[in-house]
Amino acid sequence: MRKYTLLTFLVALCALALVLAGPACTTKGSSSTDDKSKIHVGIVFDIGGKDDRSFNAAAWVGVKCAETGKRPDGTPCENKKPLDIVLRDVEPGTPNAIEPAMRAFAERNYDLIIGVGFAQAPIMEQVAKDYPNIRFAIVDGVSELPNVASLVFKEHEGSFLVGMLAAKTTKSDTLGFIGGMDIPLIHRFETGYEEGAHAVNPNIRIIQNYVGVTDSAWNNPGKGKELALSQIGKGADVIFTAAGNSGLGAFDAVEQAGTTPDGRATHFVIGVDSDQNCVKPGFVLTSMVKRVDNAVYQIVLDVVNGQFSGGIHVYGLDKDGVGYAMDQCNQKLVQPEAIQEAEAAKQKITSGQIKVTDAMAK
Amino acid sequence: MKRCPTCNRTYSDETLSFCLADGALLSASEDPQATLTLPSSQDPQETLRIPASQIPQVTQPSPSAPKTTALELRNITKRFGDVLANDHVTISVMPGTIHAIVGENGAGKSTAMRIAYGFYTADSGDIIVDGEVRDIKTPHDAIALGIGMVHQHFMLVEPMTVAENIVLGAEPGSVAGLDLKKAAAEIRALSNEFKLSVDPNATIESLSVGQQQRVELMKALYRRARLLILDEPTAVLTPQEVEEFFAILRNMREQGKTIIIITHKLSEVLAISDDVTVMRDGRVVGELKTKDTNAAELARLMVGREVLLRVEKSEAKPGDVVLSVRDFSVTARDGSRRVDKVSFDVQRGEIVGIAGVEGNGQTELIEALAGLVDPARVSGRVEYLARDITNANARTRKEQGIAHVPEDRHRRGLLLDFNLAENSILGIHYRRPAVAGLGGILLNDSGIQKRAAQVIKDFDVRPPNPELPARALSGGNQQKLIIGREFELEPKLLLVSQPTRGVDIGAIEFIHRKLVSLRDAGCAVLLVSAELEEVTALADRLLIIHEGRIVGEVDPKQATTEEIGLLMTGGKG
Amino acid sequence: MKLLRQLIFPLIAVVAAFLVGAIFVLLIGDSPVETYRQLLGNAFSWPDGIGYTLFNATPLIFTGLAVAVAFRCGLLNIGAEGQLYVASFATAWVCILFGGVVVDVFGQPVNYSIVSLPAIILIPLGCLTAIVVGALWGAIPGFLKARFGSHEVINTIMMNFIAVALVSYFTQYHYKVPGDPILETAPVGAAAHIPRLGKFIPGLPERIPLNLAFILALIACALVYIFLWRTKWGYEIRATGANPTAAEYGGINVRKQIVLAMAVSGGLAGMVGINEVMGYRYRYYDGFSDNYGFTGIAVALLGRNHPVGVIFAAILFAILSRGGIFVDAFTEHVSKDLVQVLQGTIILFVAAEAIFRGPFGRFGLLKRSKV
Repeated sequence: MRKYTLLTFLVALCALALVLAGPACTTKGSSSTDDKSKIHVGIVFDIGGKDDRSFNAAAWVGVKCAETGKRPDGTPCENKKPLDIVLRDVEPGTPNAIEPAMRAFAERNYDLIIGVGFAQAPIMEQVAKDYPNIRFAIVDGVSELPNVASLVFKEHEGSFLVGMLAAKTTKSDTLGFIGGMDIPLIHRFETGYEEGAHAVNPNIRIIQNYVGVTDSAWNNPGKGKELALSQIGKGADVIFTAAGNSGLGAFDAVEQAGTTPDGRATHFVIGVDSDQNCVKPGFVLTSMVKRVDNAVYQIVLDVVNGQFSGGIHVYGLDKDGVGYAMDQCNQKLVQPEAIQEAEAAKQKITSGQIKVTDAMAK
Repeated sequence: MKRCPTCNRTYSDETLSFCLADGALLSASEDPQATLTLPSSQDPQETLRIPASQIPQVTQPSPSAPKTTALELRNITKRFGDVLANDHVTISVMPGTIHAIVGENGAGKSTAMRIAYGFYTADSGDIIVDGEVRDIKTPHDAIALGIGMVHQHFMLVEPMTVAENIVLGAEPGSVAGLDLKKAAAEIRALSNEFKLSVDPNATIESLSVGQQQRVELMKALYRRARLLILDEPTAVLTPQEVEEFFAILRNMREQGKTIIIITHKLSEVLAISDDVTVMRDGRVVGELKTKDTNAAELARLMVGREVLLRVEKSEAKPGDVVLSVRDFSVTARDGSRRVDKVSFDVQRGEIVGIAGVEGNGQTELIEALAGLVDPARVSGRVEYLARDITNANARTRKEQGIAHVPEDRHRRGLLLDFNLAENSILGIHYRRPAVAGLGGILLNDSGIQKRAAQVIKDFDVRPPNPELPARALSGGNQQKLIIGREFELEPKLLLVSQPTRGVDIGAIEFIHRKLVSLRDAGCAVLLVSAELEEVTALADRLLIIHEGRIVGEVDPKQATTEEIGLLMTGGKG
Repeated sequence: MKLLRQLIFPLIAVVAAFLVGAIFVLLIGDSPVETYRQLLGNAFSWPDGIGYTLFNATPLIFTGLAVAVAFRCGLLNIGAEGQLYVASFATAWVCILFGGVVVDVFGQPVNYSIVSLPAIILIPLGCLTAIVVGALWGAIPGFLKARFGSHEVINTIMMNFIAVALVSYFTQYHYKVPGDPILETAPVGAAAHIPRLGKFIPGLPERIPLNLAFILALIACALVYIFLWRTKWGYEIRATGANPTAAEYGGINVRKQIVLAMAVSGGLAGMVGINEVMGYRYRYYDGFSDNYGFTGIAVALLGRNHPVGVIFAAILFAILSRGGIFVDAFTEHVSKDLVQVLQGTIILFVAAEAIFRGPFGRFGLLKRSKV
């Protein structure tokens, strides 16, 4: 009897296979987008994935605009025209998948391969060496190979400005900073933020914490929330997060801290990388935006126009590579006077009158 | 077709035949002129003469008048893969009787009953309940027809109370909506009616095995079972509990219940049943009235040949002391003392038996002597061939010639997933002939195979395939494999526990002969068995153990069962 | 026939999982044929497909063997992940310490080593470190179980957390080159690099990281087979796994077997470090493990805890993990999470099979009846 059960099962499996294969064959033609005449762009995200509402998300916006002229949520991109490219993306999920992902694109002779995140730099270095005719771009990382464009940002400058805004907003003269992984890049955010705050009021106290020392520090909202709550407990009322997904925990924390009777939040968070103002409207003071989208779009545009150049491309306040985000979600939260001061400081930084310390250059 | 319970001839309703108490089978169709003679109900001295043609109008059958069967299996055939488990099995069980189904392991008795209970569906054949052909596909169908079954392994939820267990699954609707109080009252009433003395509010884990079994019975009764199928019910009971249990069964029969009992213990068949069906190799090989048969006949039917039920042995010729135990105590993990200052000797060439109700320290004593108990839990002194081995581990003892046949072959004795060859070297796997090469690290396949072939041949292990996993063997053959393995060590001392538990009659005879021949070869044997018959038959001296103490020594040839039984239960003889 | 019976259920599990996966793919709106072409088709190209697949399979063979050995002793080693982390870090540490490593830190040469050993000493030393440290880390929960009876599943899970935190700490604060944004140690000495197979196989470029550790993995399979089925120690371990009380009865020191099995298991898991540190990245890279230790459980399960089965199962899982990237990149909607679905379903089916016949022997549930 058992034999028959087995046989029936196998037959059923085969039948199912045929049924599934049927429609599969008919739809096959439609998915072929491999038009060799177009520019092919492949992007490999960081461990966090393209939906981190932060750094990776910004890169995703950049390439999506280049492909369709629309952001991933369907809204049109300002100043970014579609470039008629073929776009493919990989979310590796683990560090080990990054190299094969890059090679997958390289093997297929993609015109541009973008790696998101400094952690990909050494891997890209190796792959780029094996494929000298393919152009690569690394966001946040640095490579000296001629076929790699290194897209770096002056996060310290942007952080300086949000530090000023935070200092103008705080009532307790205590600010918080939550970093993701404890690495020099994030220290760059931290020092800029500190200097900005102290430029407004030298007596301001800044509490800083890091989520962790491993990759997972970018992806631990629970820990982020815990840290934010403890900072709130110590008196911090504006918290700047530079912690990827973990930072979203701090958003929850300030929301939990509540509002005054007139509806204004008692505690604020400052978002990072992408414009996160509308993640929790009313609780997000501003976001230190890193215009990864601009940088990524620009490099795609360069390739399309045949103007790609390797080397280091720096995006600071001058090129609108970093900045603070103002929109309908935070208009009422920031005092106009604070914005004026920040704009003034921005002028001074671009003109060189104010020097913000770059923690990574130490 | 029905079978006349008194004269054993078959007849059918269509022929208007009746089976009469005095053994005559009356058939109206055969002989319309025939008359039926019945004792008058008014005056026993008078007899009524009734023409056969009027018999169907008899409205009130007398107590001895024919009845329909309570359960009948007719031509049941069931095949598992290549195995024909039931081959045209026909069994008729009369209402209000205790019907024993006997047979060796694998004879098909459990299969037949599981078919009746809806566990399996027969490939062909009919099940007739109270005279009607019924389709029993699941145990639910069976329960609805008033059939209950008590399995060998209880299906009880330990932390729950008796009442909860009994009600579990019996009541439609949600458990939350149950009226447990009402159920408890009902259970108490049942308990009184059948003299089960079970407290509905006790938790299962607080009950003894015997009591748990009664809970199982109660479960069936609560579901209004009129017919109870009991699968090897006494396997887990002590002799005392068996007696109590049988009293309960007889009482249930008085109350009109029908009981089918599956067993392979002949003494029990003879003690309790009214009718016996004997099965062998999936077929019914005998249908007997218990009062008309005896153990020898049943054994012959079960095994298919003459079986020696008595152990034949010569007078023991005891030699030097091999094992000397002094003030030996064993403490359990929970701190309770299981063996309490026992002292005894075992000499060359004698079998010393230990009799006792199970759970009185026999297990711990044997395991401690085999080196399987942490030395920290042992005190006293054990000498083997004048050497102190009190703290020696199992391996050292085995190396010095102490073999051990454990009481639980599945738990201790065998690696069920290992094949026979691998099992045949358990305990000597690290030395020659099991190893060779690389300084005795690598297993020696040819040596292992040779050893396995030897055990299989000398101890008639079937099927004789060393590549078969031990799991695939019947209980008797598993036991023969263990005994063979231990005998192959040529021990000077054999510790043997329950050597024939769950073993077929044929194999029991074989194992008994082997034990006696080992004794005659000069080995000292310490034997523990829950079967009083077995220890008294085998032992040359018999020690009685009660609550961890040796409470007496008797000569098994002289002592009566009552004497021994009294000692076993702690009463002074 | 016996072999076929062994194979049929894992095969059914895999095929069934693929069918379940196909349903998901259809629901998502892609073509199962195209998706599976991406998932599986890229594994067999030469040299990249085969090279990378075998490279990805290497750590899975080690962890699969590790889990299988423990399982044969009746232990569930969930700690392969921690064991391989600790062992990998230790390997890197030894290969830095004795590898003559001098790193440029902001323009200043900094010496991380005490001595520079030649490859002929350093490579065996590195391998030995991986095995011994993995074995020690594995033996700890084994010892805890043998001595105190604490359950190895709990202990190995806890040890995983300790391992990850410990090596992160040492990497971050002691062996990271200042200024390196990535959490990784200084590079190991060049003498510790084991050759890539591209060196010996024509047509296989050296950029493909398939290295000598793969050959080591195959040797480990053979050795594990011999150990388990051809030595008295293996007999004792298997006996302990099959029935500890019977093993005890057979004069086997069950506690010793538990420690031994966990040590062997840990040592095998630790060998992942040889592949990772000495054959691939040439440094310890924190968080490098793609859940190798946990996937090893699946590999062992699918491979029926047999070395040969482990090889095939490891290759299958390697194909899936690499194929997932292609699925992610080159299909319209399906992401590489499909691989997780497949892996999970395979395990589900394999486990279901165990329910059907594992504990009840050859005839499965039917065998339960005594007839």
